[in-house]
Amino acid sequence: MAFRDVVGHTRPCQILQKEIKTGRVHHAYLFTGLEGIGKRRVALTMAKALNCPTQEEDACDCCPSCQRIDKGVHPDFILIVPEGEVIKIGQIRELQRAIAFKPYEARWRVVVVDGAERMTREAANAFLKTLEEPPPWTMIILLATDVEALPLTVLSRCQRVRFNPLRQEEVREVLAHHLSEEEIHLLAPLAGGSPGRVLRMDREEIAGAKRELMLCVSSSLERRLKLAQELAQREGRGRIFLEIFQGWLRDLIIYRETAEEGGLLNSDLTEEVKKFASRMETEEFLRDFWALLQIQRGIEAHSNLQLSLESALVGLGGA
Amino acid sequence: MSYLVLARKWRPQIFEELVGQEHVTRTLQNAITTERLAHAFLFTGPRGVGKTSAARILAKAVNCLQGLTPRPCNQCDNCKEIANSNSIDVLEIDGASNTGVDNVRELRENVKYLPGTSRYKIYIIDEVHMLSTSAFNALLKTLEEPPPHVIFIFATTEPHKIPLTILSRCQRFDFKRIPLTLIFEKLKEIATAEGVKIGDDTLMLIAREAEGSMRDAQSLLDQAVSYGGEEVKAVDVLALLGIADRKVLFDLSAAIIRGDVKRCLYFVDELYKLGYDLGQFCKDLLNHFRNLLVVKIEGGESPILNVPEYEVKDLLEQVAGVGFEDLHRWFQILLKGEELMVRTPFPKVVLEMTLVEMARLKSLLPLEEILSRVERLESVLSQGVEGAEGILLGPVEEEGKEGGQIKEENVHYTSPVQEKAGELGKEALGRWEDFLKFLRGENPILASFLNQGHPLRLDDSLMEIGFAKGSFALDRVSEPNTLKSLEEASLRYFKNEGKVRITPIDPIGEAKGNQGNLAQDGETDLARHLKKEALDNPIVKEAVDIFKGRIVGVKIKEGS
Repeated sequence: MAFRDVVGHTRPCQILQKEIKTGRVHHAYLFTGLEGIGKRRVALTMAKALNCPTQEEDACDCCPSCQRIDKGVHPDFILIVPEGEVIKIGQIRELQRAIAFKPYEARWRVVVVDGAERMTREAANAFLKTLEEPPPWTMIILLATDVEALPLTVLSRCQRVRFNPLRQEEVREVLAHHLSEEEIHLLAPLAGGSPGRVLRMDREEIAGAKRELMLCVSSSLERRLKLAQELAQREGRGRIFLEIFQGWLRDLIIYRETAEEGGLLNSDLTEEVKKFASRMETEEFLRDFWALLQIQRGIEAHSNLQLSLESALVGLGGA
Repeated sequence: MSYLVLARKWRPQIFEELVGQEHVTRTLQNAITTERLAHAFLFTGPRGVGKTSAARILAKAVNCLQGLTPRPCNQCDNCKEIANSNSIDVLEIDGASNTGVDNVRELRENVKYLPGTSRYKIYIIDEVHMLSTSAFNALLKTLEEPPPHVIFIFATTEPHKIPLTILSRCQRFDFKRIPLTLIFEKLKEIATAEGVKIGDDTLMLIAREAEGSMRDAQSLLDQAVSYGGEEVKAVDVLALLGIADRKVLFDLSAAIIRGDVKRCLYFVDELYKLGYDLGQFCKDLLNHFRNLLVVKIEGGESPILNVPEYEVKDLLEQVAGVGFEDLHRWFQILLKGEELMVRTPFPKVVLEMTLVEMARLKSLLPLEEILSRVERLESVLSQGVEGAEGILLGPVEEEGKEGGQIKEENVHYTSPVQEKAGELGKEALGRWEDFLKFLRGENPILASFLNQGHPLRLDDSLMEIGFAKGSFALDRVSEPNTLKSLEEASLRYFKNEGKVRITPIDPIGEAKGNQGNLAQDGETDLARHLKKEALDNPIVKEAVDIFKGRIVGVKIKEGS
């Protein structure tokens, strides 16, 4: 993939290309943005563009240099990913040894650290000196989803490039390469601007979760508790369900406040939204929404899933 | 050589270039001039304020071929070598990579050898907080009494992680965040030297974003220059930082103050479509509300405001007529939203919901006004003698129980029902009281609100209840839902098609009305007797004694 083929991300690409053109390439970049939004693709493209012998500010995608970077076999392209959960200090030390010498053949040696926020404290600190003053012709690109998790000292040594969520049309454009029209209609609203997220989702699961939600809002407390138990047992299931649930509450609130159908996330549930929106006050929906967010956070922290789900579903309140 | 970024190109080379750290540079320069140089230094402070630079300058100052000098020449071989980090006598060690005790042992081995071409052998250990405990301990003896030709300089952003034993052996220098204006001036100097055209307001924007770190500021400038070319415009920088225009912030906060939910949602949608970083935007909005709060409390002259003058006027305009309490609550909702936005995969949804909640917030009365109302009420009540004090009936009930004779009942001396006795017939009053009792069983919450109301009319066709103007009870009871359930209850109880009407009444006038004579009017001989008996009861007396209390009223149990 070359810069010209990147969907969306106009600004980041523009910045990077301008810097190549003017020869003001920074030695350390930090790409930040949602998971699955295309940061790694752009980093790869940057590496190719810097080294492509045929094109000035872009990659040709067909020369040996470009192809080897794409395949991950270029000797001067180094990709670091978390080993298990984290990036360890050993990986950073190894990297420092590897880049102490001149690049083998490339104009620019490019180091991409994917999941930079998962560097251990030791690794991040060991990386600081290298980040500030790397050997000549070496460029480091950190990719991070959660900027807050990165130490300020790392942040301050990099040039930050922000990757914003893609627009709905752009998400659809990317998804068009992978999914059918019908699936895109169902899934695109759940992307939250990140096509990668959608591609990693289980389509069946989402359709199932929507059915379950509809069943849930219109049935008894007992039935809801049973569902909570079921969800908790099916690993990972609760998360998708809660996300759909969150979108549903959001739609209810938005519909109450604007009475417009256009802005709804779950366009396939428009009729239901209209029906349920009048059942409670906006404040009550909001309260449920915040409670749900808290529960979602709780799941991240490995708290008891079933309890969380039960409290979410019982808290469905008047709906 | 590849392109050298501004932060490296403009790394300070002499003490005078080190901006905003006069307290450090002056001390160091004087120490050099008077030849009272310590053998171990610790430089601490936030990222990008000049710690490593200061360490290198100090190294040059002591090793310069000109001799020990507060102003290194930067011309001689030693200075050049240090600047290029390849001097054999100045060893810059990455403390975070060489953390183990073995690294320190190696260092101790080498410490004893004399420097090659310079006066001092200087060890700069950066990120020193990452050394292991045993590494620190292995260093202690050397650090306390190093050979005379050795100087240690430690630099760290986290001084609290350094053992006290190390701290006490070093001369410590705390670097401060660099003030906004100094960063701004430095940026301007760099921009001029680099031949970049950039407006003052744009530079100010960058300086503010850097939050006191020179390196952050220079990195941003670098990025702005590569993005905008020779002439950098404010819009470029805004786009680069993902910052929305100030105008959007003002428009949005105005919409929140107006309570215009639709408009708020429209703004979110627009920002999203234009590709703004919503997390960043939320931070900016939070800062904007902070500014509004500051202006509200301190006025436009506040030194902690940090906004350009033309904005102060807008801020002042916006807070006029908005209460501090409301601003504060908005701020808190926003703060909560901002926190939750960080980790969610759907920041847009969270921002939307946050704004909906903010815009729908009903405004609170300012604390002063509530207080003054309470004071007014107090002064009114204090004229009303006995009956008025009945508000504090709580503890007396306890005493009544202990006495075993007088227990709780339904008729309060201060019951609004009786206050209005003059206007409403005895019979109607009794019906009202019975209705309240009935309601207490049916819907206790509603009943407690009605308790605060005054029955103005009560007959087959109409039940009219007065509530104090602006009271919470009035608001609640006037809500269509509540009104409906009230009507239903009255239908069930009175079995007629009577309508219910809620009327706001003037609280003070009403309260003044009948309280004085109320105590006498309502009291029968029996009641007086019972009260006396209660007050004379030894258990009650003892209770009063124990709690050092006083009896503010006595309630009479029904049927006694």
